[in-house]
Amino acid sequence: MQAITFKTDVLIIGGGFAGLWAARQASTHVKDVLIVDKGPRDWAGLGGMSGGDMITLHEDQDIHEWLDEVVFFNDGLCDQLMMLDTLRDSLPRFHDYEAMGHTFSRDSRGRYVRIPQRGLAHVSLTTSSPTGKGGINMRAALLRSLEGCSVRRMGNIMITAITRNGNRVSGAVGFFNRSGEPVFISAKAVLITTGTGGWKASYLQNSMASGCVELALEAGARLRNFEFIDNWNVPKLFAWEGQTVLLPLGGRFINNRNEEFMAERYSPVLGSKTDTQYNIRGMVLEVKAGRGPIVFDTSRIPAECMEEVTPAAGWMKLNNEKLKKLGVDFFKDKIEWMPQPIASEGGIATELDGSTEVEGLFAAGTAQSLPTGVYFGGLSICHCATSGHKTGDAIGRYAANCETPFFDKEQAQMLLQRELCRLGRTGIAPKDIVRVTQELMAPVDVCIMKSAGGLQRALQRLEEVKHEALPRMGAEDPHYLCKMVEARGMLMLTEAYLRASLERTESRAGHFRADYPQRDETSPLYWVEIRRNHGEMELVRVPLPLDSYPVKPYRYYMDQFTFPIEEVRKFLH
Amino acid sequence: MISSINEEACIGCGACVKTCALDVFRLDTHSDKTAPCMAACPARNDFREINALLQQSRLDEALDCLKRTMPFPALAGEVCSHPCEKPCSRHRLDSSVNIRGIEAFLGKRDVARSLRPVPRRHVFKVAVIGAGAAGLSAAWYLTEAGYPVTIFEAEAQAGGRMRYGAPEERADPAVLDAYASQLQSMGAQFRYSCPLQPWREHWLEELEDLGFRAVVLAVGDVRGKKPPHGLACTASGSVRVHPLTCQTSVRTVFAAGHAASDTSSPVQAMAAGRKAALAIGNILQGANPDMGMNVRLHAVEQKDISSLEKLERREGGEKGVLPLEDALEEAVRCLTCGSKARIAYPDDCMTCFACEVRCPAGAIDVDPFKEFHPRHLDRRFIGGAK
Repeated sequence: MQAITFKTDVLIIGGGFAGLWAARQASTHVKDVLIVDKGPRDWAGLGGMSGGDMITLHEDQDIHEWLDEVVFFNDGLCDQLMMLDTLRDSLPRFHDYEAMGHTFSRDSRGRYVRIPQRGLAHVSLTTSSPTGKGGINMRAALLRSLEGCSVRRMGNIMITAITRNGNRVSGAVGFFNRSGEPVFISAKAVLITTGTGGWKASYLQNSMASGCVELALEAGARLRNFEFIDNWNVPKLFAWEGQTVLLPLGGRFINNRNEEFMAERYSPVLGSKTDTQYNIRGMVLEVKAGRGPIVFDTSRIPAECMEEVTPAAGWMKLNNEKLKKLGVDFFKDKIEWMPQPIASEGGIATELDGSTEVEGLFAAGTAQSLPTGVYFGGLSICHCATSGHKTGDAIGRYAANCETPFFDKEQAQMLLQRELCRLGRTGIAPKDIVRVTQELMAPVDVCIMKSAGGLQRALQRLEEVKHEALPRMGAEDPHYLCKMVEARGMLMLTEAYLRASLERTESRAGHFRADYPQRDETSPLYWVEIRRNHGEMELVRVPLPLDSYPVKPYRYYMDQFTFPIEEVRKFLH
Repeated sequence: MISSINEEACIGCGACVKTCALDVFRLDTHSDKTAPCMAACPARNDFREINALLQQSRLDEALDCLKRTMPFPALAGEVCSHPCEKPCSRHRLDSSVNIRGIEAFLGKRDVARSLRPVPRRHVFKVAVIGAGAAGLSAAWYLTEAGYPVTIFEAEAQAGGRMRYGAPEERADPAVLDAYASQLQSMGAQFRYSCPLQPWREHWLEELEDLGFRAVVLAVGDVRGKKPPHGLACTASGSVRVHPLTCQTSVRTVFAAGHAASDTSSPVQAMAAGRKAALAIGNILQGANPDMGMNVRLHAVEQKDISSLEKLERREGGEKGVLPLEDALEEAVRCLTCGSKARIAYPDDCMTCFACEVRCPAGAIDVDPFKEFHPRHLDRRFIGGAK
């Protein structure tokens, strides 16, 4: 019964790509870096499952053209300074990956394969090779690069709270999620690189129901952009990775009349070659008008590109083979697709170096917020590398120049006891809370064509769940204790989403309000930020510092779409 | 969604358990097949089970499991040559699991434990003569079972050859002290500087008169010395014992360690001391001494593991002790030979195929069709016509 206590200079919560990059950099400044992850050690988070495609600004491309386009794509809501850093650092990190032994695709003439994104003129991703193993290979490369670094990595640890000493973080507490064994970690600085959470959708992001929202809010950090979620299109029955490559090459969504409805009705300019948010709005309107179901058509992808889009390795290859055995041919059959809210695009508000207003607390990767609901394929791979690298440097320097703060074990024990006291208790299963939350998010007027009515209704249901089901949750064993913490995190994330969505009374980028279908041109551009105030979420509109931004928004991606107002109004009850 | 595991094909390597980010799998380690490490271990330490527990960070249970066969892991980490590592299946893939380092890690936790007195469950006392590896081990298991135990030691301190032997035989005296003190806390009594002189004619009767109903003779090598009075010896001069129970020619006297064997490593001596303790427990309960002790070994078949990920063996820090994170990771390298994986928590599978891709035996089947999610375009969620 000896409690497990770690002492480290830099604690990194989340061993995904951002965490690994950060650890690599931080270890150049301090003696010891400790990564903890709730999954198996070195599974490397969602990056390891990704295609490994990376937004990269190559030497022949112009950063200002790109930034201008990103601001356009995000309808002005872009943290331009952070985006500039991300774009500027993308090529050095790309070369770092190559130096680690990772391979990006090249064409027959030896040039990198770049795929333009979302019908934009400049922004493109560079693909990994071979198709289907990009993420796996990146993971291996990153882990190899950590050899010889003073980085300890621990798996199967669920962190449940960040401990503080005054306004300064002093470490974290959690438990081993297969044994319930308590874990105490004293650290000079803490970096959060978990995702901000999601709704366990059927697109490989099940595990994203992390407690990061709760961790950050309780620690005193500010959250930003929680009205923006990653709405993603997926085949109804199975998973398929690669939409961001398929669409630019000619893949398209068609309705039951064989019409490419995006091109015919909603965006003659872009057609299906756009962000999923817009395709999904089109899908919703089509189905509502009785023109569903929506299927994905690959017949217009040129034959010479088929090799590139056919899975050649990894789980994608296996998936494809199994589907074929079941009589499903992804490229020949009419596969019905459906939208799903996958994950939040909100994050912890940070400075450019990843620091927050809580001393010693940093955030990087998808724990920060960069995109605003619209998303280029390959941005996360890029941002996790650039922000991980940069924040790792900053937190390493910070920790090298300070003493270890007092770690109050008693306070830590109390924080942990809140969770551990549920162990062995019979009660409502975490999975049911997840289900309820998924259903609460599912209505179109909650997650796609949002309206005050839909959001309020969902919020009311959420409050019921919070008061009735949440206190009655039980965890029969440590596995379910971990799932319980996740389920609670998912509820909190959903609350942040609903409240922030209500606060933004306009439509912009990934956020669409059926009751406010236009941009709010009367007030200056703002972020919706959330902080904790007496246990409740307090929402604040924070103006964008446009004076310090190079691009003053002057054109808007959303203007390339017309969603007929009378059709949209059908979602207001 | 996870569909099935072909139990016949499963080799129990745990690749699925170690891969799944959603924690869907568990291992069943109880099997009539003996892992190669256990078969080679004089003490029959069940490192398959121990490592499976460590893979789940169940540290205390792992230590308890080791303690069932190895009373002094911190000493074994030092003085054992670890023949268990030689036949390790992992050896065929990269290199054997560092069982020594894991044992030393558990040993370090073990000596740091403070133990409370064990409730006394028996009336009759047991005498242990000699506080070397065999005697301490017998005393440990007898005390743990609730017998009042008195240990008679000729020297001033416990440890036998591990303290007073040739330099290469010696263990860390601080660890010996710690174990002696743990034994004392549990309720065992030590009589130091108290040679019992078992060659005297009436030594057994004297012990019986003092209330001792069984004796463990663990005085070290007796060859070439005066033979213990009343006990049959082998041609070489060691005490003759039953190989399974360590029982001598006298029903209530058991001999363990070097006293009963021409050669005896400290771990062999600890194993013999344990057997003597179990057999004494049997006879004091009226049973045959070998009850439950005749365990047959069935070796695990060797299977193809060449497709598994190679992982570097972690070497220990100071004195070969692995730090916590390395010990847990080294345990992850264990292929838990002979176990079977099972689907323990199917409700959270995300259909990522990682388990199926990594399974070296092709035993796992994942259905590409996923869990049914709320469909946003259904009438219920979209409202009105579909």
